[in-house]
Order: sequence, then C-alpha cells, then structure tokens
Amino acid sequence: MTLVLDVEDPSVAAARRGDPLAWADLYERYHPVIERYLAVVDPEALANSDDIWVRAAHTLPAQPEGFEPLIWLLRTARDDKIAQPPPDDSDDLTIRAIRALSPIEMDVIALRVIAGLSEADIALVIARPIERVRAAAHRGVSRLMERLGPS
Amino acid sequence: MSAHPYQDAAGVLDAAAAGTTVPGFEGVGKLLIDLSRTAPLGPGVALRSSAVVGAAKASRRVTRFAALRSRVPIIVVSAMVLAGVTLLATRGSSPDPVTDLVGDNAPGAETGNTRLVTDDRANDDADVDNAGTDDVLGVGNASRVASPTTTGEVEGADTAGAAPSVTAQPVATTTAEGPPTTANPPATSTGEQESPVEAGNNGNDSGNGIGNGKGNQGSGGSSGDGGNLGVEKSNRGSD
Repeated sequence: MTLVLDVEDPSVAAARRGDPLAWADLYERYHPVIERYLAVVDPEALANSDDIWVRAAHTLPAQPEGFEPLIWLLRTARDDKIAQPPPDDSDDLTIRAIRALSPIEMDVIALRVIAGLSEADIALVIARPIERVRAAAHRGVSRLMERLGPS
Repeated sequence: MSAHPYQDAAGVLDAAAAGTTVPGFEGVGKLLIDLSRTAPLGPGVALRSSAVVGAAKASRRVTRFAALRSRVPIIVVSAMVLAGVTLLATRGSSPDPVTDLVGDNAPGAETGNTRLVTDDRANDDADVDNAGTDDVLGVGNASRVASPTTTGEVEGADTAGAAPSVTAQPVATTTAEGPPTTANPPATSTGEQESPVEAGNNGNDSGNGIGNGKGNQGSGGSSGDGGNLGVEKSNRGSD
C-alpha cells in the first residue's frame, strides 16, 4: 500500500466536490476498519467516531491528489484519539493482551493487523520514522510472545 | 528465525494480516489473527447517514470557502477599481469651489456648487459694500448675486432707477476683487441654466442675484427666498 496512487480514487474525487454518494461509499469502505482500530486502541472514541468524517471533510482539500484514503482517515481518527491508555478491563483475552502493550506498540500492531497497512504507511499514520515502526513492531510481538508463549 | 529480529516480527504480522501463522510463532500468530477477525465492532458499522451527510455538507462548505478564497484577489481588485471610479465621479460632480473660482471656472456654469461659492464671495463683498453706504447694501447684493456683469447691469436698470447706477459700481468692484473671469461667464450661464423663470426674476430684481447665492448654498428652494430679499433690498436702495 502506498501513500499516493497513480489515479485518484473516484469516490475521493467526487467527495472533494461534496457528493454525498461518494462520502457514503468512503464511509462503507473505511468506517468498519476505523471502528475496529478504535475498538482496540481507544474504545472511548468509538461513541464519536462519526465526527471523524466531518473533520475528514475539512482536511480533504489539503490532501494531495491520488493519496491513500485509509491513511488520511486513520490519521484523522488518531488525531482524535484520547491520550489516556485504554482500560485493560476487556473480557477478550486478545484485546487485553494488546492493550498491555505500550501505545506505539499497540498502534503499530493494530494498524498492521486490523487495517492492513504497511510499515511505511503506518509511519505516515502515526507520524513516526519507519525505524520506530519496525522497532515497535518487534517489541510488541516479543512482548506478546512472552505473555502467550511460543505455541 | 531470520537474520534480523525485526524481520521476524514483520513476518509474524504479515502472516497474521494474511490469516496465517509463522512456524515457531503460532501462539502470537493466532492471537493476531483473532485480533484482525474478532476485533469488536462498534455500534456504527452500518451506514449512518448522519455522518455521510455531515461530511458531504462540510466538504461543500470547505469547497465553497476554497473557491471564495481563490477569488479574493479579484474581488479586492474589483472593489478598488470601483472605489476609484466612484471617487473620480464624485470629484467630477462636485468640483472644488475655490479651484473653480480661481481657475478657468468653466465648470462654474455647469453646477450650482460653483455658483454657490461665487455668491458667497459676492455676499462678502456686499457686506463690505454695506459697510460703506446703505444704498450699497441693496446694490451690493444685486451685483454680487448676479455677479454677472452683463446681467447685473441690465437687472439694475430694470429694478430701480437709483439702484442701478449704484449697482453698477459694486458689480465692478466685486468683479475686480473676485475672479472676474469666473464671475462673469458663470453668472450669465447660471441664471439661464438653473431656472429660466427664476432667472427672469433675477433680472428684474437686483437682489435676485443674492438670492441665487444663498439658494445655492442651502438648496434649490431657498433660491427663491434669496430673490425676494434681493428685491426688498433693492427697493431700499431705490428708496
């Protein structure tokens, strides 16, 4: 996945003009991913996840032509993320294990596994060098292995 | 295990994203696969029209604002041009009285403003004349008002036997002090242009000239009053 595509997404191009159907298409394609990401790293922000789209509409004109919409939307969602670490009170073992990681480790693993972003794209979303992304991924996986065991 | 530990982690994550596990990392691999598949969905997974409509509206606002912002330089330049044209038009319609008097005063005949100033000066002159003699009061007004040397003389003659002769002198005085060129031409043209009827009255009354002057200062309607005053004064002169 790359930041800039050869041809701009038609829905993004129409969304630039304020076409509601284009926004609906973007919403259907990307909102589930955004909600999954927020459900892991910032469940408190789920209640207001729709606000991300209004803010995204304001930031859309500043995006370069042919950009990757998911990176833009996840970056918008992260801007709204609550700074406090998510509560470690989930009944789901997987969620609890992930939330036990540091914020950047949790972000990198969630963006890689849930959103399917590459290391380079994750670096763009979290605004960190790609080396930090790789290091965080390594530390996160190592800590999960320590917690769960090799098998 | 790969040569670099970072590559191990990347491989585990890549495999999990693809729904598989890497040998030796099955435990964490399964957890990550679960994370990708079973991450709890929020209450808004289904399409929420409010978010879409809100985004579309916001996008339109931003688009309109961006379009307006791109037109700002044009709007500013247009406003400046319009302001310049308005300024020029204003100056053209209300010329500087002093300038007109001193200058060619060609515009004097065109507008009442010019007459206004001329009459003012004439009034001043009249005051001076009044200071001299009572007769001059009436005459002076007439001369000034009419400041028209040509008209004034005719008027004076029509108005009263005694006044005309007196009038003639003030006229000459006023003309000499003030802008001779200015006073003469405009006066003639002014009387005719403004109101033929009033001009006729003016011609009859030496004071009518004064009336014009005051009228110009205030409003068109006051011109008539001035004329009456002129008449009365001229009568005094005659008396």
